[in-house]
Amino acid sequence: MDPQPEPVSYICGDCGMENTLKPGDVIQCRECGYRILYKKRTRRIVQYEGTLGDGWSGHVIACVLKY
Amino acid sequence: MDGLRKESYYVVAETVLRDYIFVHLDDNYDKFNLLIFMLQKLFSLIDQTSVPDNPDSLQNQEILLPGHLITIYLKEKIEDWLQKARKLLQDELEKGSKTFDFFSLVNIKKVIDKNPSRSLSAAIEAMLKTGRMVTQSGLDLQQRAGYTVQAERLNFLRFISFFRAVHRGASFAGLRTTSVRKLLPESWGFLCPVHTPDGEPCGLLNHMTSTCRVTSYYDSHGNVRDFSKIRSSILSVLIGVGMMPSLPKLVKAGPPAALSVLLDGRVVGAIPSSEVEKVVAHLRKLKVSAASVIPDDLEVGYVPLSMGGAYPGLYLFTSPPRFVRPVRNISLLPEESQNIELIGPFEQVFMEISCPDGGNGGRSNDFSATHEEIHPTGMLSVVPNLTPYSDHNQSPRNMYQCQMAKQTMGFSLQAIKHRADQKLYHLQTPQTPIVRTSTYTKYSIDEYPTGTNAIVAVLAYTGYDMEDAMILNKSSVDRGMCHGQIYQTETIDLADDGSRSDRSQRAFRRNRDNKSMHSVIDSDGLPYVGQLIHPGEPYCSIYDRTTNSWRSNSRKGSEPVFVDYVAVDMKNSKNLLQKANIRFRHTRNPIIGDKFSSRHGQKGVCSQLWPDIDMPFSGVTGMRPDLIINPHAFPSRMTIAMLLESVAAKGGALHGKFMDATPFANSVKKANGEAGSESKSLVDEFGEMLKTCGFNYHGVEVLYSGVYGSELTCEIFIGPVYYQRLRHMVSDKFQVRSTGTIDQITRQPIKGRKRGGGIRFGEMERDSMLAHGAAYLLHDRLHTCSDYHVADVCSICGSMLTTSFIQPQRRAVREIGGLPPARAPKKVTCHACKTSKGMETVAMPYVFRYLAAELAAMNIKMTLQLSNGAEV
Repeated sequence: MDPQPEPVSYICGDCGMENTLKPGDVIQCRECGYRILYKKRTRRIVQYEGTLGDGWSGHVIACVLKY
Repeated sequence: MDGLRKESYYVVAETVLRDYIFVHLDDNYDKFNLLIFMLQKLFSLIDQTSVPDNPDSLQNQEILLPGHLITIYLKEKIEDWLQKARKLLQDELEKGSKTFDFFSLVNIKKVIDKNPSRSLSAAIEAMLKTGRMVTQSGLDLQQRAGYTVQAERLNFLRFISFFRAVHRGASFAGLRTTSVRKLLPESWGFLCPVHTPDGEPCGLLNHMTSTCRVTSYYDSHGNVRDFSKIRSSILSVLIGVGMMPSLPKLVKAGPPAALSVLLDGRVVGAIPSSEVEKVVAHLRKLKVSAASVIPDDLEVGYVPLSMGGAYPGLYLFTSPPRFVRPVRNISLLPEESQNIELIGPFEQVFMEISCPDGGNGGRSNDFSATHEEIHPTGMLSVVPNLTPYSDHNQSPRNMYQCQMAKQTMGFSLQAIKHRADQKLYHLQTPQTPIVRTSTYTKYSIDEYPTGTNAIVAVLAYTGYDMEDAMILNKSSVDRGMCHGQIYQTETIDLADDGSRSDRSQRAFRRNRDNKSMHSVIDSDGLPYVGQLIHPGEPYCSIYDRTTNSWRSNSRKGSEPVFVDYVAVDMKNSKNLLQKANIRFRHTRNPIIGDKFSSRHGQKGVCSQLWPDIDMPFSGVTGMRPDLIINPHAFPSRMTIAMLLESVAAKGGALHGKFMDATPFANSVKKANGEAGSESKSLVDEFGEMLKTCGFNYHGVEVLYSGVYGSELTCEIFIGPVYYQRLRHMVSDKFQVRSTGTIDQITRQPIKGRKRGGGIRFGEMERDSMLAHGAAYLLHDRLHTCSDYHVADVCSICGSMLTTSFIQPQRRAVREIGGLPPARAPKKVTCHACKTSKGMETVAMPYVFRYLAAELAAMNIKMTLQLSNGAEV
């Protein structure tokens, strides 16, 4: 069996509290009980590819997003 | 009539009078009086002392509001439901069952519940959803479908226009005559003459002017108004000023001695002709004063005596839903708050309203004005009111601008962060226009800007600005000018779709074993926010517990998208991740083929992204234009306002202030009483502004060629113009293919952009190819690139359907020798002739073979006579 799947962070649509959920958890904010959660932006490196029809063709710019 | 079969004649007649004759009146005497009045009007028409009323004129029209439509629809649905309930009860009573007790509430309820009342709300919901009404009677309406439109939120102007639009009715759309579409002077001030689409709905779909309102059942505090009370108070006022009441005794007087007074379609009395004008003035005064009982939206339609005009009388209206608009009553004291009067389209025709249009509307002094327009821009609706200096444009250009403003990519919503609309267009870098009208500030369009102030040079530079094409400065685009996005939301609800059995057993989850998917899908089975997803890549993974199977949804389309937002929520209490909204972001940088327009109906397509270093530059400031348009765009279109905007914006930018471009500004008196700057023209004003900053008076500058560095022969007109990016973008439209998906039956290319199909090369295209003698190209298009097929034909019997392959035997010899199996020669035989002697191969379109098969299916044999083409 694989190790436990890593938990995913969500932000509550009502109070803005960060919730970390594992598969099988109830989708509900722990703070206020609101049931719509927004997924947080990924912390992985997102590569911006310059082939989207703009002036960066040929270049590849990597931006590291940290917060 | 239902239930009256056994009643006396008297009762039936009373019911007919009550339900079918002048239903707006309760009293039979009133009905009689109205009938007499109508007869008098009819005789007058026959005598040719009056003209018929025009049903197409706004003067005689009211508006059908959604609330009223829903109410009458609901009324009919309730009636149907009650009829059905009565039928059920009657049946139950006739059955005479012992258990049924008519006086027991429980029993009654049980019977009526067979006819569920849910159907009522379902009917209303269906009507709102489809815009279609299911009705037997037709409700006296001319159309049954098309009552709803979806309010698109492409930008705010489009959104607001949906709520100001008035449609004449779908039944008029098919009419051959164009009289209904005509712009009549009666609609002045109520319907905008500029804001109507051209083409099919032209003149039928109108928009209310910005000052126009519709009277309502509710007063300003939101309470339902008591119209009978209003009417009785109006009646007492009328009697107070000398009206002879028609009740209890009919007034025998008629025009010209006396004029009938009608209040909401009821003949209430008559006033001597000499007195009427005084009465009307008195009523108007009471209307305006806040303390009086007369409502401010009372319509005082005084039709004066005339020979061969409209039938005279004093027609008063209190009821909704009439158009009203404010004008200033100048016959009253000029106290600011107390002289704004609401007038309706019926009375407007017979009123003397002066409009400050510079020439006083050609009014002669014999008819002095009693009223005055508040501002001439009151005749325009919101969208054309935003066009700067629209009074300097040729009128069709203003109409085009209205259409284009509504298809501009702009800042559509404030709450875009939280929205999950199906499709949203969004402009990344909007700006506030330097040149703006007073309406722009009034309606806070700054909250929803729709364009960019681009530095526009008017010159023919490279030839790439021919025929309404325009050249964009590549560096400006790279800096973000006109950059936009399309947000597209996909809602996946696993509990909703699929068969009932596996509904609750599916959830978003990532397959742990399939490691290849982990780069695009997070451990909750949904994509990473901010992730770039390429076409064909999966964006969510779904696990089905019952079948223990995995499924993943993949991106369609041809361009990579970003995951902008992922929202999860839970409907049921089971701890399964079943519903998710995933919003994708398509980036839309301006590219060749994208559409742009100024605010003056000057649209164009980007033809080149020209490098900044090769753009012409100003000798003094070194500025390069963001955008180059061709001077040929101006002479025939006469959009002088665009030139004015350019100069004004240049002056405004140099002085650091916004320029007021409200149309008709110089014909309106200033607040301090002095007339507008009649002596100084707009051009003079802007020229001075430019001059003080050291620029050319006319807004032209010396430019140098970006390529050669030499001075351009002409001075170039250059200045900032507010440009809108329209939503038509090539990335959403281009269609290209060489080979690709084909139709299964005909083997010809399929149609449809989404499926990678082609564009039809039809008969007319074929004709033009023939006319050019381009036979090879024609053959290439219609045969080689389409359903090219090599068929085996038996030259003996001439059939191409009876041929079949013979499976060649494996050549054992070669296999033994260790040699690779040689390609077996194709062996084709004809089943009919039992030989392969006469087999020939013929190139033909595949549909021809299909035709032969179809013909064979209906017992028609098709034979081919083969010969060498040269021998014919």
